[in-house]
Formats: sequence, structure tokens, C-alpha cells
Amino acid sequence: MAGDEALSRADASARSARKALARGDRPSARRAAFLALKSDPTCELAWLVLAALADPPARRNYLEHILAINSNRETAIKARKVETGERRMLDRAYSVSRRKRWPDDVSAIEDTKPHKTERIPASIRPEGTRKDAESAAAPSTTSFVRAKQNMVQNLRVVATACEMALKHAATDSFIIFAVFVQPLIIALLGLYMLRERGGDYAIFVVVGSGLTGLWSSLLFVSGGALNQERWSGTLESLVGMPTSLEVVVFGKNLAYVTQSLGSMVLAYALASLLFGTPLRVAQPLLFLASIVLTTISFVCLGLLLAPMFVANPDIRNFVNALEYPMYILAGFLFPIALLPGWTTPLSYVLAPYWAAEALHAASTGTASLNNIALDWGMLLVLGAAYVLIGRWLFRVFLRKARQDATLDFF
Amino acid sequence: MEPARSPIHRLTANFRLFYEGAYLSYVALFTWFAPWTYLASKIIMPLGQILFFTYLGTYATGPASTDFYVIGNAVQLAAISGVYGVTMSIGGDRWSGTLPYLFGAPANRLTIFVGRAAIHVVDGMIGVAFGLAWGALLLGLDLSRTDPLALTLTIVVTAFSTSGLGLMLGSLSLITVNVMFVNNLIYFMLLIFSGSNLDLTKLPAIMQAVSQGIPLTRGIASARLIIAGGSLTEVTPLLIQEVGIGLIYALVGYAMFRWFEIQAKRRGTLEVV
Repeated sequence: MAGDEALSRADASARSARKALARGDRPSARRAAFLALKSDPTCELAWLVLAALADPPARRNYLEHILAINSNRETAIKARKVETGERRMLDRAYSVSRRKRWPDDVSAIEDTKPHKTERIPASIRPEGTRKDAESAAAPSTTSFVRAKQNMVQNLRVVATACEMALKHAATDSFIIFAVFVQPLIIALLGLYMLRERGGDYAIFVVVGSGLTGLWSSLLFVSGGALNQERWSGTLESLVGMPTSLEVVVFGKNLAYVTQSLGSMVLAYALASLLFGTPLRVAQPLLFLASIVLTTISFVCLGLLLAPMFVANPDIRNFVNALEYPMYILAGFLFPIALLPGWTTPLSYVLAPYWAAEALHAASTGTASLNNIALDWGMLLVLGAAYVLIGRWLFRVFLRKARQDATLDFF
Repeated sequence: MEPARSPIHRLTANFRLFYEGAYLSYVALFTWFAPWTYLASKIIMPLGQILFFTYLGTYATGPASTDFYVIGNAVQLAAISGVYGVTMSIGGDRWSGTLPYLFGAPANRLTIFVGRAAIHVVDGMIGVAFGLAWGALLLGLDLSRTDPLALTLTIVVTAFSTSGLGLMLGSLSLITVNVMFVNNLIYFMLLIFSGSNLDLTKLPAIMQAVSQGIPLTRGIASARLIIAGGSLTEVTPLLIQEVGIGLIYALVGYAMFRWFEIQAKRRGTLEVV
């Protein structure tokens, strides 16, 4: 019976802690949470309150502790949501544990300063919790759950960034120009210039000009998106949030690259209307697969470019010089065989070159399975390489920007 | 009461205004000025454009046509300064909040207006010279039969006429928020309609008509003739027409500038937003 009383006291104290947190009275919340834990060291709500009060690194320790006590899925989800500090998520997390609402003042949670009493007091540390057989298995389960939750969380961020970027792009005339108008003008030029070649020139131009749109959009819009955040004063917040910046950039890149695929459709319509040329994608399934891989590899390439924009805002003035070299080296509208031999290795390390190879071959019907498999393989390998290098660059440049306090300089 | 000024004094004052306006607009535009940035915008990007369209053109019509594309794109580079530079020099007053002061100043409007373009004419000439130099160095452009004086005059005239277009676009930039959209659109349309990359005689009649009404078309044709060994006499009619077109655009731009000023003062919207 004494045990029941202790649990009841713990529950009451934990509720008071939550209420104090909701009022923004953090010292009382902390005291009440510790009181609850004295009565019941496994009181989940008390630990959640302490986690919410803590700064991010300490918060993670608390949450790991909660998961060590109770590693079931429900607890893991709540812990993760507290970690991300999202208001709606907190509400939902709270409703799972039978409480009505999580604290109204979520910002109070976010700006909580580190406090020396936030270290888990030895007196309330559950003895042997981490040592018993059940909990010994918890870390592996926890890491699996956390990895899974991280992935879900990142996908959610990618989707949100993608959605926001698309909304922004719909109203920005510069983006509309880079993504739709410029590729159309290049398509028109290409159609006039290459029509004397005959054959499949029209579909070749449509695909090639679409690829120019993909690259220009990646170069100007994706890179510029980070500068846009800088001008809006939101770059610091993006860098400071728990989700890594490259995930947000990935989402933005995905939006812009996917959107610029529309330029290929427009060029297709233009070629049909103005020139009355019958247009046919000879190997549609291979073309479709190539489009998907092209999109992925371009988005990954964007991860390589974005850290440069973080490192140096002035790079926006330099990107003008990078537009045509890619058109040339990747062979968007003419074969790279026309170029001097020493440029060929440069083309081979560019995913857009392999994308152009695959798409041109599939659209004109010259693709053999072996050749296109090589193109796809290269797209995947280079895409993975770009991600790895991009992540490293992000780390290096972000660290430098923090050390030099130059993140918001422009 | 302001003392009466002699014509010479007024002329000197206007010249000073012209010079200072030209110099300051350039300095203001290139606040970002740094060697790498300038190299990227004025040397490497133009090289990329020349290489891309020359390779595309030779892929389409064979290596014999290399000069056609090199000259066309090199001369078309005058539009970088003429369109972007001039437009941003005029539009810059609006973005930096100095337009009301400009409209409030008693200074001669024509001098201020034309002064904004002056340095960009010189900058445009340098751009074209770099373009031709790239062509000669990397793509085998043969300048051995070229009359240097005639070519220089052609470059001056073309840079002037594209700056005339820039003055008109600059005035437009006072009433639109999509300045870069308009600039980019015009720049890329020039790639089609100026004949820098296409044989104009093979275009539909309506496109040919548009070509005849814009700057650059005659400048590019003149440059091709001169580099092929033509004389100044041969291209003089083309150059006169090119100057005329540039003047028309500049005057239309100036008329718009004055009209926007009057409207802005009348409506109390000094920034003409």
C-alpha cells in the first residue's frame, strides 16, 4: 500500500510540475519534478518535464534515460517529440499519456537555459535500471527506434521544406524565369539551330533544354534559397534547430528540381506547336526511370553546392559563371565529343552528364540496357558521393561560420 | 533669388553632373566589386556563353560556321552592360531609396539620365573586346582581314545602342518590381532576335520584323562584315541605323522617366511604386 501511496504522490507532483511548466514557472516545475522522482524514480511525466526544461544536449540525456526506463513505442514517440520541441507534437505526445494538454508556452521549453540542477540527482537515479537484464537490451532497441524516428522526422522535414519551397517558387518571378522561361528560350534557340540536322533533333532539344532548366534552377534557386534565408534572418534558426541543415536543403532542392522538370514538358509542347514536329519518347519506361534517377542525383548535387552558399554569401555573384560550363561539359545539347579531350574526365564526374546520356538515349531510342545501366549506376554512385562530400562540407563550413560568427553576414 | 548663370557655367555644371552621375552609378552598382566577382560576371560567364553557343552552332551546321557564332555572341555581350548595368544603375535609385531626392533635385534630368549609361557604354565595349579576344584565342577567330577602326566604331555604336535599350528598361524598372525578370527576358530574347545565333533570313517574317526593331541586329551584322574583310563604307548605313535605334530607345526611356517623375509628384508616390 505504501508503494501505491508513493506512486500517487509522484503522479500528483508530476502533474504540478507540468502545470508549473505551463505557467512558465520553471523553478517550481523543476522542484515538483524532482519531488515526483523521489517518490517514483520511474515517473515518466516527471522525466519528460525535466527533459522539456533542459537545453538540447541535456534534454537528450533525459530522454535516453526515459527510454531506458521504458522503451516501448509510445514512450519513444513521446520522447522524440519532446526532443524536437514541436508544439503539435507535444500536444499529441501528451495526449498519449492520458494528460489533457502539454504546456501552452512551448517557447518556454525552447529557451530554457542550462541549469546545474538539471543533472540527474544521484538520490533519485533509479538503481540498477541500466544494469538489469531487461534494460540491457534497451539500447539496441532504442537506437533502432531512434534511427527509425530520425528517418521519419527527416522525411517530414523534407516534405515541409519541399512544400514551402514550392509555395515560394510559385510567386517568385526570378524562379519562374530560371525554371520555365529560360529553358523555353534555349529550347526555341536549339530547335531553330538544330533543325537542319533532322532526325530526332526535336526530342533531343526538348530533353537537353529541360536539363539546362534543371541545372539553372539548382544553381540559382537552390543556392539562392539559403541566401534568401540569410536575408530573411531565418538562416540562424535553421542552422540551430535539431534537424540538420542538409535535410532542409534536400527538401528545397527536391522542390526546385522537380518543379523544373515542368520545363521539359513546356519545351515539348512548344516544339509540337511551333514546329509541328511529331515528338515521341522512344523508350518510355527507361526514360521514366532515368528521370527519377536524374532528379535524385541533381538534388544530391545541390547538397554539394549549398555549403558554398553557407560559407560565402558572395558566391551568388560567382554562380553566373557556372551556368554555361555545365551545359557544355554535361553535353545537354551537343555531344561532348566536340570538346577537347582533356575535358572528358571532368564530364565523367558530373552526374548531369550521365543524366543527359541516359535521357537522350532513352528518348531517341538508342539506349541499350547495358549502356543505360551504366548511366544509372553512375548517377547513383555520384549522387551518393555528392551526399557524403556535401555532408562533410556542411559540417566544416557551419563550424567555421559559427567560430567566425559570420553566418548572417552578407 | 538665384543669380543668372552664363551658358558656359551651366554647361560646366552639367558636365560635372554627368561625370559624377556616371562615375557614382558605376561605383554604386559594383559595391560588390571584387576581382573574382568581376571575373565571373564579365569574363568567365561571357566565355561560357560564347563556347556554348559556338559548340551548339558548329554541331548544327559544321565547323565552317564557327566565326558566325563567335562574333554574334561576342558582340551580343554588349547587352550585359547595356541591359543589366544601365537598368540597375537607374533602378538602383529606387531600391536604395534615393529616387525621391533625385526627383527633388534641381539638376538637369537629361544629364543625370544619360550619365547613368555612360560608363556602361565603355564597360560594354570592354566586354565585347574580351569576347572577341576569347574567340581569337580559343576558337580560331581570324581577325587578320579586320579593319580595326571600323570594328572599334562598330563596337562603340553597338554598346551605345544597347545602352539606349537599357535606359528604356531602366525607366520601366521604376514601375515594376520584377526588374530582373524583365532584364533576363530581354537578354535572352536578344540571343534569338539579334541574329547572334540564328540566320535571320531563315526566321518567320514576324520574327524578322522584330529583329529589325531592336538594337544589336545591325551591330552584329556589321561586325561580321568587317571581320570578314568588309570596309567601313560598307557598314556605314548599318551603323547609322544602329545609332538611330539606340537614340530612339534612349529618348523613349527619357520620356518615360520624366512622365514617371511627373506622375510620382502628382500622386505623391515619389518612388513610383
